[in-house]
Amino acid sequence: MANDQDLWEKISRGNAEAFDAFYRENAPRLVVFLQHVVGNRQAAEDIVQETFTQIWSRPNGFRPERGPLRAYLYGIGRKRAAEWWRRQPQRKSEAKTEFEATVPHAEAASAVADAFAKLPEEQRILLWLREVEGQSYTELAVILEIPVGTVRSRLFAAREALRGIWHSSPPNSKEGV
Amino acid sequence: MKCEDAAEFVSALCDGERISPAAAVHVGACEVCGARLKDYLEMGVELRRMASFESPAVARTRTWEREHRVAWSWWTKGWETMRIPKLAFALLLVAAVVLGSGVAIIKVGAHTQGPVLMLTARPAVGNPVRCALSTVDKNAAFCAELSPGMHIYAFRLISVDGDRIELGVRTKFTSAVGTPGTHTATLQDAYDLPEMRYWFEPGDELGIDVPGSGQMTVTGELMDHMPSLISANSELDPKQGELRVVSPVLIRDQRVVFDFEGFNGTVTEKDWGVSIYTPGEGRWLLSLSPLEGAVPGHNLLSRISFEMNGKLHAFLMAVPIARSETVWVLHEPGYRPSQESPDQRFASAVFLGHLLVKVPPKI
Repeated sequence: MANDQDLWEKISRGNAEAFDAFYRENAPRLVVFLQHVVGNRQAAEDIVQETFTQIWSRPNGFRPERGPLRAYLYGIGRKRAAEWWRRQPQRKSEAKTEFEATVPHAEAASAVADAFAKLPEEQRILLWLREVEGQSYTELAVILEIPVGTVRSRLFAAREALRGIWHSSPPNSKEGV
Repeated sequence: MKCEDAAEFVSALCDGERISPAAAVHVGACEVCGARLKDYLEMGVELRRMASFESPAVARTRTWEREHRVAWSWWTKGWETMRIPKLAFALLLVAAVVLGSGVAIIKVGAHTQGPVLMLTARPAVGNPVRCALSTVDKNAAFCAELSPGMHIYAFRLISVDGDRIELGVRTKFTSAVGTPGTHTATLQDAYDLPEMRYWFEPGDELGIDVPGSGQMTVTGELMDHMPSLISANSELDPKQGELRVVSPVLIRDQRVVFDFEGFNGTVTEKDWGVSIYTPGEGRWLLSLSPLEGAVPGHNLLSRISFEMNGKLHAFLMAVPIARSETVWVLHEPGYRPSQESPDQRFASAVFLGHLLVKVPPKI
């Protein structure tokens, strides 16, 4: 937290070197995360650029007492991704299809991956942030702007949904886990 | 404890959380919950395995240069106490008066750097209200539309948190079906209203209940500069029948009589005009229709030139005024407002029915 505050003060003062380090450390993982939100690598990269640009040009929203800087970053990225969806409603179904078709790599293909691709976006985001990114309840609360207690119940709902889809998949694919 | 009660605790266990003793006992002894725990853990592992195949992204090389923000001051002098009277008649709803927002909009113009929240509020009754609020200058973070006797809508940008903006909104709606008379409103009337706070994100739609009117819908977008809003009609070219008085300056014999910098009044309704009062000078009325005792002014672009009492006068505005080549100007030096404070200047839209020249019907 203290490091975050120091870093934030540097960013707020316009320290480009500090911000570039923050960008290089976090941008790659944020791209991967956002790719799972928007289902499109190029769009995810663009959103990441917008996200960092926003933070750099308007460093006024981070509150250290509410959570770590990384959570703040992911929260902005998530909202930018939501804006991206809103800007192109006609492409939503097309992009969803693309997401479902491309995300499970051949080597990674499994019943869980298939089931994950069928989850609603909100649950996909939540599970990815928790299981892959390792975000804590507090961080998730900041990113999703919900109370910590709600994080726990929504994670449970997401896991149950994933489990339900997984178990309802054909037996041979289920065995492939 | 039943399995359905323990299930959420199973999920919490996967996240490294501690759970209640009762739940821990149940999960440890129950095969169903044990299977759920095993599934959850497997799913987590599988998701991480899947993520391992994601090709690592490389951050694009970028340079980080922050745009220099121009410091600028904000002007409120005079407007805080501005009086806005209007002779309002029942059912004459359409005349638009944009005062507070005009203050906010006109003064800063192109000199202001953003970001600026451009709000559009669509009340259930009446015309849309547009309002530009600075996110960087608190002095330019308030605007109001006052239509005395009809409505008050005021917006204040309170804070910014990432993409979210905290808005303070004050509303008042009065049904115009009432007795005709003189109605007044000042910015203080807007300040006196209770302020409701909302978190708003540009791109979203905010619904605000306005008692007596219905739901007002607020939308907004972020802009990189303070736009120069002219009126509800944002075109530079005035519409037919529109009279626009924006930041008027009156020149008499090459000397400035008054300067209403920041005022933004637009009249779109037949038989209405704009009234400008300053202590010591009395009232000036501008109208597109002939008024008893008025002189014709030659309207060219953003200037009305006229002669009165042997002296050359000119009204200079910030935008083109009207399509008509003639704007009628009436000066009432003896006019005194009926309110308690005649020493305050004001400008407003005004119904001119009683002053209009009666044109005999052609035979």
